[in-house]
Order: sequence, then structure tokens, then C-alpha cells
Amino acid sequence: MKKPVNNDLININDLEKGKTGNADLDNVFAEMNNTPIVFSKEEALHLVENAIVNDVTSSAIKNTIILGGAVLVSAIFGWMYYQYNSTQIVSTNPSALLENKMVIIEKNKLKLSSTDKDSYVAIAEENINSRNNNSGSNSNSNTANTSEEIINPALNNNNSAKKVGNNLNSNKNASTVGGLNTSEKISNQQLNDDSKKSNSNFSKTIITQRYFDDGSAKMTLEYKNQPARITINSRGIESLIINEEEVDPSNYYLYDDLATEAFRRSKIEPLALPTNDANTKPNISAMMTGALVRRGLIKNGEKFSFELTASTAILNNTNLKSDVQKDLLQVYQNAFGSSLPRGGKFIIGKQQ
Amino acid sequence: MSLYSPLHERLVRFVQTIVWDKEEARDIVSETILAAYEHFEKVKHHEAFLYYLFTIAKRKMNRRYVQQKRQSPWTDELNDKAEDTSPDALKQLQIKELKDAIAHLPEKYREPLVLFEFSGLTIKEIAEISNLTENGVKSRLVRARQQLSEILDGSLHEKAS
Repeated sequence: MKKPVNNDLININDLEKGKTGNADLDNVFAEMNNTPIVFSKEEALHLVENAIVNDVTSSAIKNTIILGGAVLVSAIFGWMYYQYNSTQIVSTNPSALLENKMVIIEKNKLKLSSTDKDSYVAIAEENINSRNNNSGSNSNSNTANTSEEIINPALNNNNSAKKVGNNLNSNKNASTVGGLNTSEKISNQQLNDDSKKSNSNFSKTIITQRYFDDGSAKMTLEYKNQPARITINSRGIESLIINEEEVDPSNYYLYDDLATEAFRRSKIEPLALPTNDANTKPNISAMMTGALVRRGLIKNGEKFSFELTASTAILNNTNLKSDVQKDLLQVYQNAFGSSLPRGGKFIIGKQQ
Repeated sequence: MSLYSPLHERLVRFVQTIVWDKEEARDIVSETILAAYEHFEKVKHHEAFLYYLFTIAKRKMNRRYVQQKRQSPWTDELNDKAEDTSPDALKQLQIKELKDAIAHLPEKYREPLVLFEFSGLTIKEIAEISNLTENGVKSRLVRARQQLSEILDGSLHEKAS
């Protein structure tokens, strides 16, 4: 390289890039500027994109964790609130000895509706069964009479009882066959909601309750000042123990108020009489018929044909909606004790 | 990226002229880009992005120079090329000599020279980055060119003898 210095040519106010006043130096500068760069623009872009992706991913993870945490905390607080509102641990009641493992879900003064109403439920159930056993026309008059008997005391009791009575009357007028049972659901609702009346049988009134996967419920309560433990399912009573002694199924009928209360508290739909022995062979057709009547799908005593499979429910040659079909499948399962087998059919009457 | 794209080549030339090792230069460029991206919210005006970017690069390079002393550009490979008389080899040699000369400039002259001659920044921009007046930048540029010529001249004499 030649000697490049020629300071006379450099003017401080006339500086230009690549013009140093020395041709050789300028050439080298030019060569230098022509060399390729060591880091391309694409690489820079890729680098920034990766940084953005990492940034987005990490913030997404952070957001997910925060959201998950919030949901978890809400769920815990919700559960605690629910527990606080609905649960009080039995600490003083001797009946707590009965079932230590039970989930104690309620401590409440039992104020049952009148025994008239309870018997009404029982009678109504009875009517369903009797009609299912083809006692058609006789039960019509029974239904009417029974309902009238119930209406009178009910009317004397309170306003809600009047409502029940009105329902019964209007339905009776509308149809001598199906009137009572169509209103049964409403009546039951009224009865269930109306728990203000006192019942001396349940004086100490502490109930513990536990549900099982097979659809049964077990509860302990104090019945006539004695510890009672009852297990029910949709078909009736599975077992009943009063004061540590097992009650014989043939005597279940003596505990109708207890069984009815158990069904009311557990919200299990009784497919037969509440005092029915659940361990006997169930009359599934009668149970299903009762369920159809209670759902208002048929009238009481009406002739009908019904076919239930795992995917369809056909009533009088009409396909029922999917949610109704699923509900009826559940009824079948509750009645039979196991679900409808795959490819199986449950039939009442004959489809035309 | 729209702000960065026009400045990319300027930034890379600034770094690769001062830092000899290619991989190290790449490291410094990528670190500079990432640092600029991470703290982009600090840039209040788009016009300030250039100063922001080159200031980051300067700091990154200074930190490296503190950690490891400036390496001599002369390696066995260059010695081999000095024996080579082909035009490409001569060009390579001239560039290496120039880089070596730049590396021997005092920092206060080196930076304005590289920013002006190789990164293509204006006097005003260099003044902003270096926190100098424009006249101060100009005088440093003149002195840098003079010293560079002297260094190159001296190295040639050394080789000749």
C-alpha cells in the first residue's frame, strides 16, 4: 500500500464518505464496503420472529396459569360457601353414631306436610300401580274419591293446600282418568316445598344423607325419638334399621311417613310405593307406565304402546325427543337396576 | 422491523468492522437486535431508534473488549495470504491491514470513523450517538484518517524492512 497521507487535501468542513484525499485509502475503504455482511436481514427477521413467538408463548402460558388459578380459587371458595350454607356437622346428636362415614349434608327442623298429603302421594302411587295392573275403570272412581278426600283437609290447612286442591279439582274435571295423576307432579312439588308443618315423628330432625352410584341413597334420621337408618332407591326401600334393629320388609308399610320423607329429601323419583321392598322383583312395566303418566306423556289408564331402545323411544308410533328418551332410559335403569343392554328393547303393548 | 430494516446493513458493518471475529460479530449483532426488541418501549420517537440501536451495539462491543483484550488480526492464515500474490488475496490482505489499523486507533477516533466511512451515518447522527458536537465529530474524523494513514504507512515500512 502506498503512503496515503496528504493532509493538505483534507478539509474539515468538506468531509465526504470514502474521500480521504488518498486514492489508495479510498480504494481500500471501497473494498471494505463491498465485503458481504456477516449477518443477513433474513436472519435478523427470523431472530425477531422467534423472540415474538417465545414472548407470545410465555405470556399464553402465564395467562393460562393465572386463569386456571383463578378458576381453582373460585371453585374452592364456591365449595366452601356451599358447605357453609348447607352443612352443619352433627356434634350433639346421638344418631351421629349411626354412620360416621356419611356426608352430613343437612341439619334441619323437619316440618313435614300433613299426613293427609303424604297419604295422598302414597294413594296416587297406588292408583298408578292398580291401573297398570289393568284395573282401569274402577280406579277412575277411586282416584276421584281419593282426591276429594285429600282436598278437604288440604283446603282447611293453608293456601298452598288450596292450590293443591284446585289442581286436583280442575284435573279431575278435565279428565276422570288422568286428572289426578297429571297433577300429581305438581302436587308432589307443593308437598315437597311445603315442609313447614310439624310432624312429631321426626322430633329431633337431624338428617345425614349419602348418594351411591347405583342410584340409591342412604340417610340417618331420628324417627320417633329413635335413630333410624334407611336406604332407598327408585323401587322403594332397600333396608330400614330402627334403633339398631332391621325392620322386616313385610312391615315397611308401617313406616310410610318415614319412607315418603326419605324420597322427598333425596329427590329420588319413587317408581313404586315408597314403602315397596326394593329387593323384590320389580314390575318394570308398571313403573315405566307410572313414569310416563307423571311426565304427562300419557293419561292415566290410557292404552298405549311404547318401545324403548338405547337410541330411540317410540310412544304410540311417535318418536320422542332425545332428552325425553334419555330420561326414560334412566327410569328403566332405576326400575331394572341396570341399564338397557346394547341392542335390547323394552316394549309395552304393541306398536301399530 | 420497519424501523430496523433500513438500519440493518449499517449496524452490521459497524460491528463487523470493529470486531474481527466473524462469529463474535454475529453474536453482537443478534444480541443488539434482541436487546433493542426487548426494550423497544423505551424508544419514545421513531427518529431516536437509530441512536438507540447503535448505542446498544457500542455497549455490547465495549463489554466484550473489556472482557477480552483486542486480538491481533494477524494469524497464520494471513501470513500465508501475505505470500500469495493473486488479486483476491491482495484485496483480502489490504482489508485485513485496514482492519488492523482501525483496531489500533484510539477508541475516540475509531468509532466516528467506522460510523462515518462504513456505516454511512451522517455527522449529525454520529454526534448524537457519541454525545459530541458536529464539529467535534468532524475533527475526530480528520484525526482518525490521519492516524489511520500513519499506521498503514508504518506497517508497510515495517514489512518492507
